[in-house]
Amino acid sequence: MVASKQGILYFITISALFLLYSVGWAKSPVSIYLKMDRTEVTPADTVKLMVTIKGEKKASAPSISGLEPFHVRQGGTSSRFQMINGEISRELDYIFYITPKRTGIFIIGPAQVTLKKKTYKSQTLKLTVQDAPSQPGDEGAPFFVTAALSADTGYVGQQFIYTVKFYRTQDVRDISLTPPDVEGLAMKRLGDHKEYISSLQGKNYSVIELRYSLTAERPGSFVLPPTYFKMSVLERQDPFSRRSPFDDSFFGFTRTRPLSLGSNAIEFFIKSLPDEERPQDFSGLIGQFSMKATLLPQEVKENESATFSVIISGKGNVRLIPDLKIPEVEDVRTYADQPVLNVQTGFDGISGTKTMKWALVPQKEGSIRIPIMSLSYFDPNSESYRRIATKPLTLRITQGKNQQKVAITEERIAIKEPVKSEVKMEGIDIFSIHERSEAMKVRMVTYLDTWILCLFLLAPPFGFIVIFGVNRSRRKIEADKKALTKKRAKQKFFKGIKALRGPYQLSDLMRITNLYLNERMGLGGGSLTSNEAYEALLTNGVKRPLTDEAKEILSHLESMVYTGAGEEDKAIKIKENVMMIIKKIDKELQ
Amino acid sequence: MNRLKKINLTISSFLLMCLIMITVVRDYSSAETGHETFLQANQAYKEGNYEKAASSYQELIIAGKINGSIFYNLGNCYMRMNRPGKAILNYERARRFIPRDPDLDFNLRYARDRIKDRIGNPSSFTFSQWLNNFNWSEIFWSFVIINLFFWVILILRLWIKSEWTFYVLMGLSLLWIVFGISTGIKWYVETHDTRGVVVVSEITVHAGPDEKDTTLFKLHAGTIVTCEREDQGWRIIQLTPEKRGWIKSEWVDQIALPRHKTTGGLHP
Repeated sequence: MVASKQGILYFITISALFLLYSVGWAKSPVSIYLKMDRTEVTPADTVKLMVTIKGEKKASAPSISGLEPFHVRQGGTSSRFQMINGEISRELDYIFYITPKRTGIFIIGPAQVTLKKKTYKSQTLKLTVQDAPSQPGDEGAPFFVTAALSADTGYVGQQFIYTVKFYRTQDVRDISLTPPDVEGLAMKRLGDHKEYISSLQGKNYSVIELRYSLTAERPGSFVLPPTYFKMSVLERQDPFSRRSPFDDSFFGFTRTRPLSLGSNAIEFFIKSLPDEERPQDFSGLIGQFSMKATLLPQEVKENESATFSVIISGKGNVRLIPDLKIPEVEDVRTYADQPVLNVQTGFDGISGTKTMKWALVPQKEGSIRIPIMSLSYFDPNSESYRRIATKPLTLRITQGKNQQKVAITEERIAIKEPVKSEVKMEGIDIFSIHERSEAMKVRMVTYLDTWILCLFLLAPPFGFIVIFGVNRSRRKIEADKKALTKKRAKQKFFKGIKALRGPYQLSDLMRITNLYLNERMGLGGGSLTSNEAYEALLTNGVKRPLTDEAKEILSHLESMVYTGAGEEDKAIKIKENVMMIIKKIDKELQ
Repeated sequence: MNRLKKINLTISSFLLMCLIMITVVRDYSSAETGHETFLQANQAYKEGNYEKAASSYQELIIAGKINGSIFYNLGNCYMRMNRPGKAILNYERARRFIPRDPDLDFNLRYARDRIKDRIGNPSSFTFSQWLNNFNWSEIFWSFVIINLFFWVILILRLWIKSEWTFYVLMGLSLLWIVFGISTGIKWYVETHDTRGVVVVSEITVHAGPDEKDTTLFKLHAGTIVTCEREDQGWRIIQLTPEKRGWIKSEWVDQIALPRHKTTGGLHP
């Protein structure tokens, strides 16, 4: 038993080690990313900058370009380890706090790190440093709210970023927000809110920042009303006015004050999209977009497939990216896959990617130029329509083994199933004659007239009627026979009485009486005791005093027969009593 | 007579009835006459002598050898002779006997594809259409057997009134009703089949029983029409309720065969 337990533990340990070992090979490749907690700050603000190295748990500190205009302070490191679907994910974060030295727009990055003699580079980030805007109302007050729009003019369908910031120097709780609701404007919250410390005029504020994507549905002048924050302000207690040691926030006696704060209203103007130079294929797409195409593989055999992919990505109303259609290419069969749209709602706005794929199955040897795919959109930054297109691609086709033309689906391509050919009819003709001997058999139904067929159907019910009738008449005959026997029972009884030779033949008297009762009541025959006779009489409807009397007489007769005791006058008496009771019973039974 | 004797009597009667029926059916089914003609017809067909083969098959039909395979073979002969009207007529006749035969189904579709007039397909499913999957013999004998069991169980119920006989009776009653209705419908459809097939290459349908009457429309070989009354060598046919008129009787052959008075069987 102990040995088997040890065996199980050994097995589990080995399995776990094997699992860890095997998944270790599946770790994700190394990559490096830059991340900032804000993209717009004032010179007094400090920005949290994070470099994330994925795929490694140890790495030297990264070097980051573009940090010259900032004071840099290291904020430490942290590492994470995850295993999802058998894939190990290791992440190492380097945190820096940067404070701008001057205003301006700065490009930070790329961050780079060297691992195993290989250098990895991150993307770059843009940070705008501008002087602090003049605050509405109570500058230097403990609470205030600001609102800003990314542009004060734009076009119908263009994405604006509406930013609301709540500044505070005191603790608050139960904060709620009511964003403005304006007809003709569509608002969508962008990501989660951000919290950070910001310095304004030498005073540090805790800031809550929220962003919304705002799109105008019609041209015209709009006014965005203030965004309101509602909260409960925790009021500090005067330590000298404390009346008891329990009057403390720890015990829940802190006083709160409701407060409602509104931001500034914003006025902006929306224009219609220009009609001039509007492309015919314009789908209403507004923003900044790019397009790329891939062809994999670039060389195939006849009737094998290559996948042509077009990826459109950008920022703006990505849901209006149209489904492109590939023009027909001679000697190439095309099978379109379902387009896939991925929409991301980030803090910087709505962006997305649409991927369209086609399986291209060339039918002829040679080389084919894949048609250029293009798309037009409106760029609000340059205030003009733009066109993006794919680069020209060429597919080379070599001679295939299988010359038959087939249809290949996406699934077949994915699992590399062998190409199967459709069965083609090479000729058509009628089937041959029936030569088997069964062909000569003739069914009886064909020959027989309807009335004969009806006989087949009527024979069973006829049989039933005959059997039913015979059965019924037999029962009737038996019943009649019984009735006749009953009718003659009394006559037979008195005939028997007359035949008795003297008063002492009591056993014969009892036999005759039994015979009468059996026949009269349709019993099975045989001798009856007085009790059995009593029961039978009651069952046949003879009433109580008479049955009691009969029982007594028959009982008396029984005792006289079986004891042998009895005088002549008693024998005569019992004979008369029996005759009298039989007369009464017979009358009653009628 | 005690109860056991009565049950034995019922079972014996039932078996006797079955025996009589089987004997009668076997007597009719195993008729061997005309076998030589059949073999000769097959040989003629194989040799490409379709005229001779067709005439031999017709001879068998006249002799009372009415079955699906003979009509099917005859239809094949006409198909080879490029007479799609007669071919469809005989395939349709064969379908009454061998409705689920795949060869027949294929050849009939093949023949229909080659006729000039478009025939509308029945649009909706009906019970009588479903019954077309079975021939009259199958439906009739199924009902005969169910009918027999139904009455036998009723006879048994005269003496055995137990639970199992009750449930068997209920089940058989249901089957008896379904098969009874099916047999009735099939019988009606078989005996009231007025469909006919155009057997000449092209016919003109007139407004009256005279060639001088207005020509209404034309029909081609293989088209199935509904035959109505006949008058002095002319017959009214109907393609659709809107397309109806007179044609010469010999231009159309009815799918249902007339009954022969002496034998009681079906004869062409």
